[in-house]
Amino acid sequence: MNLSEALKTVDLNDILDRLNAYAISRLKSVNIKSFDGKEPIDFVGDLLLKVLDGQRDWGKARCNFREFLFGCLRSEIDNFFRVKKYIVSDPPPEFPSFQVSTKIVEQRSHVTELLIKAGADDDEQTIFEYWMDGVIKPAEIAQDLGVDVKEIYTIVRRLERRLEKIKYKALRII
Amino acid sequence: MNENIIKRIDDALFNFYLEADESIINDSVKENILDREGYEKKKKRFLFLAQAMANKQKNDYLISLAEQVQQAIEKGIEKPISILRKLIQGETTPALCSNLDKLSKEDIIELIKEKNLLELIESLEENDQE
Repeated sequence: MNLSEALKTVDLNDILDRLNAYAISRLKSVNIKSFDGKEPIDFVGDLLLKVLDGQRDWGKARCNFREFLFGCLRSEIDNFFRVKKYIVSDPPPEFPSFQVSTKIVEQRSHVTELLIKAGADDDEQTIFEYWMDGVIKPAEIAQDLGVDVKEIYTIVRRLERRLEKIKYKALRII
Repeated sequence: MNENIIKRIDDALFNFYLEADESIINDSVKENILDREGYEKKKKRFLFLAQAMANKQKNDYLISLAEQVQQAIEKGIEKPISILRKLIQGETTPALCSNLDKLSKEDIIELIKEKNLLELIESLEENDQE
């Protein structure tokens, strides 16, 4: 399928909103307010231009077009962080980091405790446990729990906000 | 945070934004974008560029395909010709359809542009491989 056909397989209006939402989520993960004057939608636009002029080559992709765009955006943002030396695990100065534990099981348990203290309900804790067990696709979690996937989407939204709140405390403890 | 934990959270959120319902995405846009007008303006520009590029690519592709069809007609290669005949059956310009060897590149583009070209493309590719 060439690029022209691929562009017609997705609702471009929806995919731009979706990519923008993902860019916002990723950019929030570093403690930086300004990204060279760029907004999340600019990262999406830059990526789209690279796909259109072939710098990001759809012809070599082995996935559907939506996954291709998402994968490219992830890589673009990773590259941006790398070049600018933004590291997701860098806490701001008011949260100095020190090593308490190195075992992932203990670290996972610390993060769960923080989530509970921050008000995470049972549903959010369950989804977090699935993620830590490596089950990350909403549809798979929904199937395993026997619930509608829309319920999982709503819980993930809450969990993402909760993780944002505890991020620096987690960095300090772990 | 331990990189394994961070990576798992990142991977999970990647899948979430890839799959989530349109309504969830719309809520996220409403919640996180303060200058909605500016956002929509930028988005409109990107949509226009993508559509313009898609159309240009489609035109380039149709020209290249028409050239291959023309060569197949000149060489009398049976399979693509029969598929072309099938595709243009019932066209309002029967004179064109009965005299394939008189078709210009532009005629071919006009005849095939709105058709499902998969079978025709496959037959041309098969011919290339032989």
